[in-house]
Amino acid sequence: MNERVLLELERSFPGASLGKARSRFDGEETPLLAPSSAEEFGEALALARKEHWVVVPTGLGSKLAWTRAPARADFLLSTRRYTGVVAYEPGDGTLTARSGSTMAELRARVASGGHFLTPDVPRPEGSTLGGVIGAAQSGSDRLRFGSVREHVLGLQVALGDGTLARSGGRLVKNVTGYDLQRLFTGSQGSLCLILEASMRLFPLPEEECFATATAANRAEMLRLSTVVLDAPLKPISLCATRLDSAKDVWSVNLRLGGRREVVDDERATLARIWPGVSVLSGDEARRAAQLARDEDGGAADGVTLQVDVRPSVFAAALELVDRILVSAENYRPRWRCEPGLARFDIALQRVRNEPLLLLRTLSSLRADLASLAGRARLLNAPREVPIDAPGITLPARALMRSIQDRLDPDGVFDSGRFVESR
Amino acid sequence: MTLSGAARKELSKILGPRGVVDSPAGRVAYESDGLALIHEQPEIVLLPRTTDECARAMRVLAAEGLPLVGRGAGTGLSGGATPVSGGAVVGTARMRDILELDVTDRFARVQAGVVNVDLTAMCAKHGLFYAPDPSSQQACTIGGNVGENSGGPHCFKYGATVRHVLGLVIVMADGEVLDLSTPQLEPEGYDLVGLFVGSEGTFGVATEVTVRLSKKPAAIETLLAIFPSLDGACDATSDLIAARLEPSAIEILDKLTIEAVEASVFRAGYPKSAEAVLLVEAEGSEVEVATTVRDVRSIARAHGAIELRSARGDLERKKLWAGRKGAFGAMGRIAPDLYVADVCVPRTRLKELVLAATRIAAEKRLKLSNVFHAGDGNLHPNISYDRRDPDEVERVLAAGREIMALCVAAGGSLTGEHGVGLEKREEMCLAFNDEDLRAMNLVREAWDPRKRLNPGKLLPIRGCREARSFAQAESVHPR
Amino acid sequence: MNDKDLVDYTRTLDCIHCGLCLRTCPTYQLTGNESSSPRGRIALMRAVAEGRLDPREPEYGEELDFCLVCRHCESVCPAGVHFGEMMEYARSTLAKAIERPMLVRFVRWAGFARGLRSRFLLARGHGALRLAQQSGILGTVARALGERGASLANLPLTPPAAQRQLLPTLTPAQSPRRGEVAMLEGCVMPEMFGSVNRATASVLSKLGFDVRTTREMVCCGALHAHNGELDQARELARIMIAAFESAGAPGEAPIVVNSAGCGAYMKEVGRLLAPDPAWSERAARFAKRVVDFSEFVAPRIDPAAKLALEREGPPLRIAYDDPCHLCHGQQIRGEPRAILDRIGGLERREMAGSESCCGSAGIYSLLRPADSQAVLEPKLAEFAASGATTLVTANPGCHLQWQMGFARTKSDAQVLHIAEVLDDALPYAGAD
Repeated sequence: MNERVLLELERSFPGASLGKARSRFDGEETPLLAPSSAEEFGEALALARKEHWVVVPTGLGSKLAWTRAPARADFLLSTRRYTGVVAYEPGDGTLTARSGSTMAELRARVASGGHFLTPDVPRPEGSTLGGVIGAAQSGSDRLRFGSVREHVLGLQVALGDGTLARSGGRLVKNVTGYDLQRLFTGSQGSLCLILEASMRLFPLPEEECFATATAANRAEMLRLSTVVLDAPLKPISLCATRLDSAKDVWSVNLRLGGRREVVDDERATLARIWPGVSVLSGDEARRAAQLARDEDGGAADGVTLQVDVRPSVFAAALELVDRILVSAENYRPRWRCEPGLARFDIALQRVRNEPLLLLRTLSSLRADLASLAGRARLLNAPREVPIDAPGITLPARALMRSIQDRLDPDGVFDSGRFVESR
Repeated sequence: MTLSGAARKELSKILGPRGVVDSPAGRVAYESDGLALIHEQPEIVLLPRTTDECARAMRVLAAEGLPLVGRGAGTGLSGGATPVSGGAVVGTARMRDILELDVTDRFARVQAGVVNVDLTAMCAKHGLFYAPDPSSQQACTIGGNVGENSGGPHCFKYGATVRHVLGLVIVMADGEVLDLSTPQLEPEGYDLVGLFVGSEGTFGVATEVTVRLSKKPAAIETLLAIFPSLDGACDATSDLIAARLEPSAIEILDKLTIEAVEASVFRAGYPKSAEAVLLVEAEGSEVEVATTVRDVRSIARAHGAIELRSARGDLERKKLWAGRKGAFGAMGRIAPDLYVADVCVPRTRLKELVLAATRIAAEKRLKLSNVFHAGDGNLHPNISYDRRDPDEVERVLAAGREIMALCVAAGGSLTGEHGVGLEKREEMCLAFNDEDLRAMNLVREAWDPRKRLNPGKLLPIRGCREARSFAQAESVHPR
Repeated sequence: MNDKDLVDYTRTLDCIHCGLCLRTCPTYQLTGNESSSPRGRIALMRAVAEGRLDPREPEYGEELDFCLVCRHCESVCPAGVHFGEMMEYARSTLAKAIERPMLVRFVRWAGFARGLRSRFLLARGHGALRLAQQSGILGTVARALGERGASLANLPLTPPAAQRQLLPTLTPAQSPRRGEVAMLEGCVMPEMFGSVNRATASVLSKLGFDVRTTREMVCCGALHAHNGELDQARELARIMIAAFESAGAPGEAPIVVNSAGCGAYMKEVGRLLAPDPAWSERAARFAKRVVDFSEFVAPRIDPAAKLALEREGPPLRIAYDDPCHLCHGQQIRGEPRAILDRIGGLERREMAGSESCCGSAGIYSLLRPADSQAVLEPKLAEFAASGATTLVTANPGCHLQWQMGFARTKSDAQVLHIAEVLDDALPYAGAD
């Protein structure tokens, strides 16, 4: 760790909380500064620019390792003390909050007004709004509500030179100026630090249902999923998990919710298409859904392979990946797939010791998936695995670099974790 | 800046005889878009047939350093397609092919010049449709929709254009082709497609669009609620939102608008006695539609609706909607010109701001009518005028500025779907400060370093602080 | 002439630039060029009136000529722009302001001022045409003319002299007699489509009406109005009005017109002669009498009557193509379909895009054969897709255009006028 950085930060920000964070990549310690006012963020970045330091924005750090290890990180700038609701308009269905607020606290707040905040991310008490937006994290409710990108109405960000800039607004419909929030969402801290976000809210479902069906094999899992997707249902989530890598047994979870009469009608449909499957309702259903969400976790820890394909080739892709992974049996993969989105995540264990093997597997997987117009990305990858995003064409790469150059000419956010270092 | 003879020859070679318009008569036809108040003749008009032709033509323009303006059907209301003096117009009117239709995976790839309504018609037989339905959908193009992030009544439920664009092929300012056309659940790197939508032709020229197609709902019902006052209709809308109901569209028309529509080719049987009409549509499963309609009815009655009509069949529904969609055109009968504001306000303040807009107009002796996407808080206060009366023009523009300022101050925005373009460029300073605009300018420069694409649009020429002090100076020393 | 008078400036201000007309405009669909659309043409006219465009620019006149004046745009225009009227006016003033080449002026004079106004010349002309067709001379000439001659080669064979006779001035009603009507014979109809006129009179007679025609006129003037000869059109309109006032039928008897182009024009003759104080009222009264064939006949067919085609075997598969001047010019769409749907032995297929222009547009198909054929092309495809074998129309120009199109594409589809189909299906009174 650069002691000088720590000293300088201590000196310049006596009030802000300053600590040390241990990197999960190599155990190194990095200073972590957590200001509590927008001005302080601006000043911290201005300082970094003056000193030619590289800053990594973070909330509570739950997704720091999603991207690859930083080539350089002089300190972490955290929003964990920059919390609170700025404005909640129940009558208009919008929420504006500081980015360090946890998803859990925000959801509790808007629940009192009959709303909920998407995405329904696993372990919401450990994820900040800013982090979710910066990583464009998917929630278990993506099937019904779509990506978080669609619901960020406006942002206030801090740029590499310390200036603060806003885009969008607090309205559900708005085309005033460039939608820079679309650029910043998912930019993984490579362009800015997100300070404040305005989000579109949805009505809290009046009633909920949760059902779990068991499938003896992949084919049955796909059949159970298909009947749900073809039925006149609007599931909030449909998720199949295969916990034991040795056995091809799947657990398929379905979550329904909405107005009481509509859910009653959907429950009746469910009884027809999933006969004999028990269905929970009300609070029981909500609890079960939360448990499932946190357990299955998505890409919370561990090396995770996230594969997206076209819906029509979903089954083929599952089979293909299964075949490739079977040959590398020491991976003990845990599968989780969302048939409605044609996406599946595979958590790979015991793979840190063999990065090259992982790399080879990933390459062959990508090559095969390409024929199915699919993409695979690696989350929480070991340091040795270089990021490569083969889907990005040269002109696109050049444009992204050009955007980075303009918004952050001094490379304050250029830690080399996302796309490529300049 | 003029185009050299050699360049003209090269362009003719690339685009063929139908691809280049440079006669005086030909160019005059392109001098404005839907914002007829402002016109400028282009130096030359280019109509490529393919992405390749477009790219090669734009390379020639780049070599000549000529600015250019992209154009779909020229129906935009903010001057986004108004030519730039000495510049070219690159039109997509000849790029009308449907390149790919994937019914299973529910997407289509189309050339940018495909007309919005033709896209829906094309996939209708597969039980699919393209959700964004601007009022101009019989004329506007998908590419134009992308440039403005167009809305329409049904974007209340389905979202605006950006929600339905899965990919793009963009020709950059220097003629380089950026192929982002493959639909993906998550973009790799930055969401360039999401960023491009709504960039009003300043980032590039989109030649191909990959669109998301939606499944037709099982049931649709349209409700027409007739109110004895505009207040009642607005209050009912605010209540619908507050009650967490999710119809697919909520529209309001006022008395003046109704009169105009009924006198036009789009008459839809709207009653002449109404002060306001609330048009609500519910889509989804039978149960969803039934419950939503039931609740809308009771809320409407609670706010004084004197009559409720509903339509289920396609033909009847179409007639109710045709009136709404033809409203702007029908307003053309009332006066030679129409100023269409496009402000957005929080749904909780709908009534207050509608009344304020009417007051502002009345103070300036202007006739203001209202037709708007009440569900999204997107107002269209429309002011009739005659452009041949310069004093009236002045009053109209002043009223527009006041209305925008008021709405922004109330937590709203300048534009909900028509875009900033030329028309509201300077008003950007009401919504953003210099730092905000600087960030936008930087991103624009990343796409177009030489600022040749649709220059003078969207971002103010002067800095905001400069503009404010200029305005102050003017008020001290009035002309 | 002041530039401002070259166009109907006030009307150009009606256009709100919404662009809804673009999708329906056949010439815009061909080129994608804004100035080939109604909105664009109005912009051009406005620019001329405001002095921003020199009317002598060749492209200005070219765009005015390129327009089919199908008026499809009027059907969709929310602002109610009278585009057809504006085009007629602009063409007429431009024809006076700009000097055309000598040859063109001669041909126009020969056709408009002489040919179309004289039964004698029309009859002799068509006789010569038949001769030229049968002897093969026309084919040779057509080939020599290249593109211009393309339409000539595919003209259907002119009927023999025996079939090119005018109707008797009175065709008595079959009993029971219900009333009296007048009927327009037209200029070209008796020559090329005498059978249609005969069928028309026959249908009216079978429905119980005395049918009166007049020998006091030749051409109604529609072609003149549409081609920039408004003064001649007015002259012919006055002759026509006088002719029908003394046609024998009582002054208020309906004037049945089986040619959509003529009918649309005749219904608007009040507007044409409005500025003339001596004629405005007479013209208005006349215009009120004009009724399209389908419009008149549809409500007068006995609901109990059994109508069936005299044929054996499977039903005749037909497609009805809306003539522009019937659906857009007169807003008549339902009656022809209602008539056809009453007829047994007939299977009517709806044809996509039936309301879009076939490219005939008066004499456009002869003046601009390449464009005319390009406009017809997608319709030929729609016809093929409909599975019909017979095309039914209600306008001689369209009738000819489709016949030429089928000939050119070597299709054996046939074209019938709705009057011919109905005549075949209507029984003689007293027969069962």
